[in-house]
Amino acid sequence: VTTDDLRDLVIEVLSGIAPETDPSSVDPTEDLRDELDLDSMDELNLITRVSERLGIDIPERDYRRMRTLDGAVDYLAGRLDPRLG
Amino acid sequence: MNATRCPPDRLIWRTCPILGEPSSVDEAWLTGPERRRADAIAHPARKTRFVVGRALLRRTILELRPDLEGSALALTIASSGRPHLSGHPELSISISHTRGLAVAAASTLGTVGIDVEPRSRNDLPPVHAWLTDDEQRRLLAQPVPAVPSWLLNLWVAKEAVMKTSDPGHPIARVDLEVRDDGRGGGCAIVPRAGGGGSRLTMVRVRLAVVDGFVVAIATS
Repeated sequence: VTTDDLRDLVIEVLSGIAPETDPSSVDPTEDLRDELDLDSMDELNLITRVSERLGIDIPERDYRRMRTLDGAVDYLAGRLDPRLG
Repeated sequence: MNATRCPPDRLIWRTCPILGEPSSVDEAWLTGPERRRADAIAHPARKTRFVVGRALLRRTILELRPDLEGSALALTIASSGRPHLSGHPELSISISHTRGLAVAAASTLGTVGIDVEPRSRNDLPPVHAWLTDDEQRRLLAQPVPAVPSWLLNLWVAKEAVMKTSDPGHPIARVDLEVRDDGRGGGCAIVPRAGGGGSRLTMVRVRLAVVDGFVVAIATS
């Protein structure tokens, strides 16, 4: 799995959660909640869906690391390959 | 009113519909920096919620503390996302908004947290991600027609309680146990043994339904 794959996965999941938005156009360094008008329920749905797709457990203490697109990709890459984390 | 008199301890919460563009009345409540911040918000719905929310929060604070000067209410948002009223540590405030409604609470009784969701909301996350084991067992005992509202009530209760927790020691949703307190619909939160919620002693949560929305107000 490459970082591009992970980025595509997060964007795909976001598209399902906020279908009225275009997640591929967000600033990858900005808070997704601001960029896409997500709330806490959307945020948890994003995390659980990504978690299920990748087969990894994401503890709640790590949720804040998923708040930007770049942050999410970096975090997931690190979880899948700890040498990157 | 005597400005130096200490008002009685109390808690109030108020709601305000969010409809289209923010009104000039709401915008008039904003400070200069807040207006500039609102103007910088690109997402129209988010901008409206920001303006309506700030105006509602100020009105709620002044209703609780009419001895304060409205133009001098300096609201700040901590890095945790929690609002504070500068210079008034005795006042706890909280705000929440969803599509269609803003809610705000102000209290001198302790730390307050408020949350709101539309009763029609049906995209709750998988229960294993936010319910304790005991809550999942109680979920199975619910009559099927009651499950959606039971879960939504639990969600807003947990969100309100999380807003009362120490920002330095955030509590995971799966460490918060919500139970009926047996006092007519209210809920009590107790820590799950061994969980991160062990820092939490007891939080009272009151649920209310307002025009198709469910509101939870927690005080600790």
